[in-house]
Amino acid sequence: MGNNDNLLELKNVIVHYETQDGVVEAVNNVSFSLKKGESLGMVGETGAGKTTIALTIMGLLPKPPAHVIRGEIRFKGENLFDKSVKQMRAIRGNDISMIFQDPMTALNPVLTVGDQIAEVVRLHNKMTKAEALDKAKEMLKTVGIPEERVSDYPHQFSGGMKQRVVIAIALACNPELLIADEPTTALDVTIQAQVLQSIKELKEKMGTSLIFITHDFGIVANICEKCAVIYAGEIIEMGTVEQVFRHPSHPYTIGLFESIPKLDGDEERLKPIPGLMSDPMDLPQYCSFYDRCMRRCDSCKNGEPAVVDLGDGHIVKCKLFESNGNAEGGQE
Amino acid sequence: MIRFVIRRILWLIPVLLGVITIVFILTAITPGDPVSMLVGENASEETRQEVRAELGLDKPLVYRYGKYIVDIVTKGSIGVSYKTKKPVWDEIMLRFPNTIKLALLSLAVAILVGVPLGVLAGVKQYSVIDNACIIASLIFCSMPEFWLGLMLILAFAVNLGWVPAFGIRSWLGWILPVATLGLRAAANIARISRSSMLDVVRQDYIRTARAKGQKESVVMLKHGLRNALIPIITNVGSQLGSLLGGAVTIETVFSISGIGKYMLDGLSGRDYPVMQGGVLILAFVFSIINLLVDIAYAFVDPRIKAKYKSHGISKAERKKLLASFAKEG
Repeated sequence: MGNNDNLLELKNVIVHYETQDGVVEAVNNVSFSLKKGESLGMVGETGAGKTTIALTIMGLLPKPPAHVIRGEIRFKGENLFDKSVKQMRAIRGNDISMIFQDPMTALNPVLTVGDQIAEVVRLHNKMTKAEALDKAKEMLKTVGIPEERVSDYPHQFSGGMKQRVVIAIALACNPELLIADEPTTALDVTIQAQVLQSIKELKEKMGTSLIFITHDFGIVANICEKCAVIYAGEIIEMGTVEQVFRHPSHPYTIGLFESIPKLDGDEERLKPIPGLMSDPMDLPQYCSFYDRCMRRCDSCKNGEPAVVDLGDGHIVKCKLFESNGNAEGGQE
Repeated sequence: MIRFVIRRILWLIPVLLGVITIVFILTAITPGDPVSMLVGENASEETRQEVRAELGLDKPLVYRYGKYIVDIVTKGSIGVSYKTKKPVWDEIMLRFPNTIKLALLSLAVAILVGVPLGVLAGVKQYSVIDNACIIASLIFCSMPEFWLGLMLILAFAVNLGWVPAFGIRSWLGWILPVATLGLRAAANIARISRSSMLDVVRQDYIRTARAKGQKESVVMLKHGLRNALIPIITNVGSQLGSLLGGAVTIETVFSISGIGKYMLDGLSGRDYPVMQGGVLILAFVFSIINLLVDIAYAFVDPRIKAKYKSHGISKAERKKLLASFAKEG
């Protein structure tokens, strides 16, 4: 893979939560890269480790209990794990910023929204308070909120508007990478569409790269170019949206697509994937989807599946493809 | 906001009326006779009757109750001490500054020691500071203050001789009583500050602040402490209340001439006006403290401020509004 045009590159990142009850293997050998202006959708069930991946990139993992066991995250060629606390602070909010899941709790209730936007502006730019507030007004306008509301408090906004304020905070310093962690999950459908539209427009206007975490394939198809499917802390399939949607290959991805209701089909019932995700405290030595897989065979129990390239960067991690694809061998 | 304050001040009237009623009933059922306390057990029945009539104690309770309230409203008088024959108000005002000074100094110590320690303990949960803070606050919370006062006198006044054991002739005399009351209140405030901070540091907006690249110290003070302040203010208010109450015993331990000692003397001498006046004034101060606490909320939390304001629609406005609805409907 080429290195220089990649804005972000994760290599074999492993993150564990070490709790009193045992070790939670939250992120297992995740590798992917993102070019400038590109957007990646990360899809997976609740608890698959999507948010942990995001927090790892941000350097915001709660330590303890979280521990980065191995791997590197290269941002503009430099490993973020080598950065000092101070250096990471300069990157956070400025080069990489994040939109959180629940807008109801993501804003500080005792500060005006203007102050909260101005705070990030002043942290990364030499500006007076008045200049920063002007910038805050401008950002509010950008996300479609009248600038007079700059001195209002979060409780005076609706959920969708709060989320737009959060987006304004995230985009205030023109970050090169924006991580959106289920930004629309807590919102109702009409507001979802508005917020998504804002993110899409702003991303295109500012040329920001985007990692969009969701469990909704529809959203990924709408705003992303690449798609990664996460299962039990691993990327089990990744490719362009085209590749993954047209030719879903991993049995889990296929299962996910089949569990989406279709209006034109004959089926009367949804086809959920049977079973539950394996306990991340007790992951098997073989494919972690084995217990729920419809197409499992005996060879699946022989160690972890390798990463197979199906062509043009469409990768899948499944034994079924090991013989006919060219295995890259992600594991040692 | 102003409307809120005015309404709260008007509410003081029924509250104080209730306090007077309860105190009157309590004095009626308390055993002991003020007349015997004044003239002694061996006085003749005649003298007793004379004194009783002079104090107005020959009248029924309801009459005395009515007269007490009428006197407050018309003469602004809260009674005359049986023993000294001086107006209770003047005597209380002579002593109140000492009590207020003791309570406020102790509160200052409590806030200056309690809040930073509690916040630090909350931010660094399970650290050495946190554990030390928990143990210390547990110890100070569980010690009765009169006992703590006596122990401090033993240690620092009797054995070491650094400070006087009683009296407040110089500032040195204030140290022990203020320490006694202040450390106990500090322990309480530290506990509340700690648990309030623990609550707040887990909130999403703290993560948002970190995601902006904000310094940890600023995250904790600007985003954390401001939000943790509501329970802390509530506690500081109730601590001030119990400091005024605690002053009653501590003034006796350290022989400080304050309202507490005055009331205690009034109680043992069955000097009803002194007790009633003292309780009434303390109740008034308590209510004012509570009001100040509620006003402080509004400055800390804009949501509470909005709630105070939203009460402000007047009856006339509401009528007009309802009429306009009726017309449309």
